[in-house]
Amino acid sequence: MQTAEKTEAVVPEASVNPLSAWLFFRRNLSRTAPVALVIVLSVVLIGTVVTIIRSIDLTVLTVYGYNRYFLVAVPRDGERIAPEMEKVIRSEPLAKEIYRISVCFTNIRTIFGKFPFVLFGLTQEDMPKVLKLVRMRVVEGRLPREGEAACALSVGIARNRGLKIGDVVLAPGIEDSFAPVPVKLVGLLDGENWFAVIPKEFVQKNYFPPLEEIVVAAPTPELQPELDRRLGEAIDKRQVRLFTYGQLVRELRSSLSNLYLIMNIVIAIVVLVIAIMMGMLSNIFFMQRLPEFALLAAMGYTRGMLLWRVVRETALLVTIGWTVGILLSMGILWGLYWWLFEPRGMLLQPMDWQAYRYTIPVPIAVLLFAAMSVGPRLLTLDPVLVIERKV
Amino acid sequence: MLVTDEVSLVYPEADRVVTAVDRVSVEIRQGEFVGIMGPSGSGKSSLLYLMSGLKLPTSGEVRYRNRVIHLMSERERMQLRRREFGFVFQQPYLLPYLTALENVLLAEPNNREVYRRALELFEQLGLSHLMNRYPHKLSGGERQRVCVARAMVHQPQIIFADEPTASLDHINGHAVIRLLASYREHGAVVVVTHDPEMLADADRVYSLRDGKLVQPSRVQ
Repeated sequence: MQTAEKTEAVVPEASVNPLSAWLFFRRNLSRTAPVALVIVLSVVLIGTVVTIIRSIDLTVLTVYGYNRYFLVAVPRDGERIAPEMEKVIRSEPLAKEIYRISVCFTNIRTIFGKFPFVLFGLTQEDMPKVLKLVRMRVVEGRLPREGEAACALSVGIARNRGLKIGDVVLAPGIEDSFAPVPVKLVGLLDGENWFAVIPKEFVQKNYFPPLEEIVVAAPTPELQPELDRRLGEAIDKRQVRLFTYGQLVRELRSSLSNLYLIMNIVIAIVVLVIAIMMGMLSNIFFMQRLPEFALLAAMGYTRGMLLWRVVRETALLVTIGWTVGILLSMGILWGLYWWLFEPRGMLLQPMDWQAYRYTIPVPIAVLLFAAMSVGPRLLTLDPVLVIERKV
Repeated sequence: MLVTDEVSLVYPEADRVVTAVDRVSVEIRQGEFVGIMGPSGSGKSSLLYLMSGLKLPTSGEVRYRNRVIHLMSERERMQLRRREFGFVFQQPYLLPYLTALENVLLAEPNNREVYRRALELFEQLGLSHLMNRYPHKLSGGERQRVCVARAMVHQPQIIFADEPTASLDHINGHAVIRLLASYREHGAVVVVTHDPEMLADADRVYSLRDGKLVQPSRVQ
């Protein structure tokens, strides 16, 4: 024992398990690192592209996030909602808060181009109530007053448009944010959503036709989908159009479905190509290591043990490649976020786990293809043939 | 301990049938150093593969401790080779990315006792200074001695050595044979060679020609 301890002290780097996958990985970096790198690059490619594409979804759902707290009823056959339809709305037990509004629009920049954002024209009295409803508060400046050509915007919108308090938001000369008179920014809002308010009487006076819509909110956001459903059934759709969050999500998913289909096809092709390439590489590496496997088989390692070894080595390789790929993707996306998206007030979620889920097929497919290509060779391996010729 | 009973190995090759081993009966006893001799193509390596379970006989049988090897399942045969047998091949193949010591530990990884024994073996064989070297830093003779250590470290019942000196010079060849012969204290050693000089110390030598045993075999 003493001898062993003495000798062990001079061989600290010797591994008790020479067949460990980690030992193979680090002692064969000239082979394992390039393979891991291919996996890293494919994961980065898929992870970043999917996250960026999903930012379209994120943008639309954020921009219309306020719609989770109320629905908007818009007249189809006049400037106002017909009295009988308003009666139907008011008689709905779940309709706790009802506000008459008028809206105008400004454009915001998104990853897919300019996108209209609603400025809610509210009376002085309703403005704080609606802000409370959508969980927003004034963080700088103040709310616009009646008779004033002014508005208050979310911090996100102001950053997106590059505006500060005192700047003009809408004006006769701005084609995509038109107003007959310049409208200044007097307050910044912050909270869970993007939101913008403007005096209702200003909208009514300056835009044609002077439409009046109705905002209807349930007692809680959890009950809002039920209210949306019930009013959707009760309302005559020829007279009133309802804008609800559920409908918005459905329409968004439907309009993006082709984009996601294309994205999924591209991902499937990337995964397939990578997996086939890895399978072929595994085969080449296996042929190079044939004497090693033949020797182990001759020494009494079963085919199952050898296959398990290949699987463990490949699993470690793909795990390392995938993990580094995910970390690198996050790094790239955080870089993009801080450098490109955040300063422009555009939305991107670098830690979008849903997007990273799309990368999971890469390691699985590589592992399967490697096992499928090496497995049959191991099953038919005759150590004597290799030993007689090579070992 | 190990007996071959009228064992034959026949296989097709191109348009003919080759009888590599033809009804050979030999016996290996505990503590013996047994040589198998013969010219190239005489079937001595094939006989060694049959004895060690690396090949299965076309006819006849190989019995190890009264168990017929070819009637065992493949898993049992693998276990037999792994636990009871040790192998030294003509080419001293070591895994290139493992050190000499780690190559020896391949015989039974994750076993502290084997690890301790490997260290002792390296010391006994005068190879302690080579333990942490990779195979490409070892000479042919050193590599083959590491292979012998690998065959011995898990203390098998029989070591099978197929032309272990073929790729070595005279001095290294004798050193390897001396090492193998010293294993008699623990178990049997079967050495295949075409060089009679290497078997001067053998307890028993079987000679083969054209797959057949040539009588009489030498017994010391």
